Amino acid sequence: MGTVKKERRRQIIKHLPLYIMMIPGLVYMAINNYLPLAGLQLAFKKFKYVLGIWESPWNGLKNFTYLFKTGDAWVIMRNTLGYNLVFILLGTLLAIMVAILLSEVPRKRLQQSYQTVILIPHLISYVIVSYIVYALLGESNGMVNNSIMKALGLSPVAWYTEAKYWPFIITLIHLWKTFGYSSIIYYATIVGIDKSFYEAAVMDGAGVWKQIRYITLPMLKPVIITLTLLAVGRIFYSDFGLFYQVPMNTGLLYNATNTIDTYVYRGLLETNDIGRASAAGFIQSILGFLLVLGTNTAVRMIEKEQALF
Amino acid sequence: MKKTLALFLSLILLLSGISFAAAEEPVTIHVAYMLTMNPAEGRQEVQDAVNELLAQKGMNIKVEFVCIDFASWSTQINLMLTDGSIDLFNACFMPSLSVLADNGSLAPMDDLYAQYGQGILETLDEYIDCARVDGVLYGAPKLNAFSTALMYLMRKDIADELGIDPESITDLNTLTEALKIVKAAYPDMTMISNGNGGAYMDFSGVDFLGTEDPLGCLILEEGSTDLTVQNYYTSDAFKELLAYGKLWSELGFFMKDPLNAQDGSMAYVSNGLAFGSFVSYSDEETTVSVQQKSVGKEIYASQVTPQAWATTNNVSGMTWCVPALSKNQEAAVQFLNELFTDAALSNLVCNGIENVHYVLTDEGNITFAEGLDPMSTSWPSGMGTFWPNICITHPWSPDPADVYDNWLASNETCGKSPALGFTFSAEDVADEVSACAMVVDKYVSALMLNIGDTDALYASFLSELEVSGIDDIIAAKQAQLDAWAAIQ
Repeated sequence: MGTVKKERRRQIIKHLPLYIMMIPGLVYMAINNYLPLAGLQLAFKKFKYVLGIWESPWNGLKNFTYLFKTGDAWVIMRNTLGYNLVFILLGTLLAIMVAILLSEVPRKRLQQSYQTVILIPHLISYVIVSYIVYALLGESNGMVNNSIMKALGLSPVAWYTEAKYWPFIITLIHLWKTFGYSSIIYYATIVGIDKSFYEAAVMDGAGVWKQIRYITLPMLKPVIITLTLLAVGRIFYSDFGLFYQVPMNTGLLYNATNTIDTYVYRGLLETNDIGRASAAGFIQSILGFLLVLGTNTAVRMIEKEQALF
Repeated sequence: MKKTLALFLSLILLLSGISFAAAEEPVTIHVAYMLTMNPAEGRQEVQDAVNELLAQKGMNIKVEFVCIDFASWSTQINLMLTDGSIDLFNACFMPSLSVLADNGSLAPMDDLYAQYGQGILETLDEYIDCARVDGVLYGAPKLNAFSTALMYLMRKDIADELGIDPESITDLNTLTEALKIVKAAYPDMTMISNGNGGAYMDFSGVDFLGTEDPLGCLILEEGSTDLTVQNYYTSDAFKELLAYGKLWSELGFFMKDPLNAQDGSMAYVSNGLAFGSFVSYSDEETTVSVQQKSVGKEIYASQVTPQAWATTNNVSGMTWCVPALSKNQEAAVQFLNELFTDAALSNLVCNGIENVHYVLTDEGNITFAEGLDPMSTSWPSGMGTFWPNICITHPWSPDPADVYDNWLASNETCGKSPALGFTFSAEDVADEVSACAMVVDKYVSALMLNIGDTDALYASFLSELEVSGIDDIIAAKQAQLDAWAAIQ
């Protein structure tokens, strides 16, 4: 017994510098990620400034009702979940495709410059993106109407007043903005795959397609599962910039652009209601959390070792 | 022994001396001040001058300005309301008074004003009631020309050139005729510019009864004291505006891509793209004097609705309040009372220090001190309207010395909504208000700009409002209004 204890103490002393290095991270996590959990109670309280978080009276589920009282509750849910599902599906496909293409580029210099170029959209703020989109789609001065549609002999389209185009526009912009970043993650995994697999495959006569199908994709599977699970956890959230800034908050587009986040923003702008805002956040995070648990269980049932936890 | 006693006694003396000094130590109150374009680098000087003035008056109060940038005003104030780090603030760009009162951020004022705020009560007279929520007083609206009418503001140079007499424009019909002339002469110019989101006019002659949109309102008519709450969006007044919107859009009066406008409507008049724009003020002189500086061009204003009206919404938009968590509420109210009544103090905070920031002219108004302009002066010159009482200060050139008498007179003569002083508490129908506000955002700009199939849009607008519960809002307003009227 004594020797085990002594051994453990020796280990701790040996790794003391590592433990000390961990402290700032733990403190950060505690303050930033765990302390605010206490704030979840605000979703069930009528917050009074004089009383503070703990003393404010409880008011049951009253903070939640506004999310469902609107006639658009269904549209808002459909938009939030629908867009996110499409983003996860198409986003993953595109990112893997680009990552594989990138790994097949023979010259190192070219590879690096492509990597940089595809990352640029990720670094542009949505406010700026909204102006780029406006420069393209603006009704009277936009490039699409004036240069492209005209040249093709089509009549100009009032893009900002027709909701039906926006599911495509929003999806396109999201993919354009995010594919670079996620493909870099997949690319990093592909680079890490042992080259001898491919050499052996070539010896056995496997072409490029077969190499991808039987080596690259199976090796990528854990990363795909992890990233998808993370995305599923945020499926009730939406990028405020994409859905509010890019359509320039145009009323006529709400059917295609209104999500939980934009609805909450618009609904609470006037009232600064902390309880109702927390209620929306509560629903988004708790439902997302449950979905992650569910998806992970499903993964574990199919393939145990691929599950995240 | 003697020595110890002497030491002991002197220690006691010293201690009592300290506590005596502590009692004399003035109470420091923190007053929130909004920064706009000018960073107010002379804030220390002005603050010292304010404190000197307070000391001269024998007041045991020291003031510290807490300067907050306009862009983060509402977030910062909201945070400060949770910890009591400010003692006095102007609740502008914040949720309405009823929301602030309901969530417990404001201290009740009745007793404090009775004791320390006689000057406030006398200055504001009946308008003070607009800061009441459920009968409790929560602050003091800053003194202003409280009423508004719809004004059309236009460029003087073009109007003169085309022989348009602003006096001849008295309603939307005469306005339309005049704008046709301008449009013919300047076909590329916008006649009616709009702001962010496409809105181009305030609804005039309507008492919104405490919501941001007229979701249940009183339609005001001279001599009428009718307290029936109506749905504005089905009223003839709104339908008439829609008809004008249709006409104006067919005449090409609106901007290109109006829904994508990213600036305030006045910016388009300033930069020459638009001939004019709608604004809301109490009278034509005030419109010109307030807007001339910011537009940067000579302008005319024509009132296009019959009467200017004062409603609770107009009055209580900029109300000076004391946070519930403030520990110096008495001192804050004493200082607020001085701001309302002491001309020297009000001049200091509104205009800065005489001969440093401004100089008096022979005409009785003031102008910048030698070598200064709005950006280079170290105390912002255009912020007088932020403070409680600009009407006892020197007006800036070119406004005449008696410009504020005009404001005060308009408060006497304007139409007063029969619900003036009533504040609606939206708490019971907050869900419906959120849902309806979104429906309004969705449709109203497009309808008023005549974009898309307006007949179909109007029909779905009304039905979505109904689904979102506008009738519940109207019923709640009616019930509260009747209860309020019963005890007046």
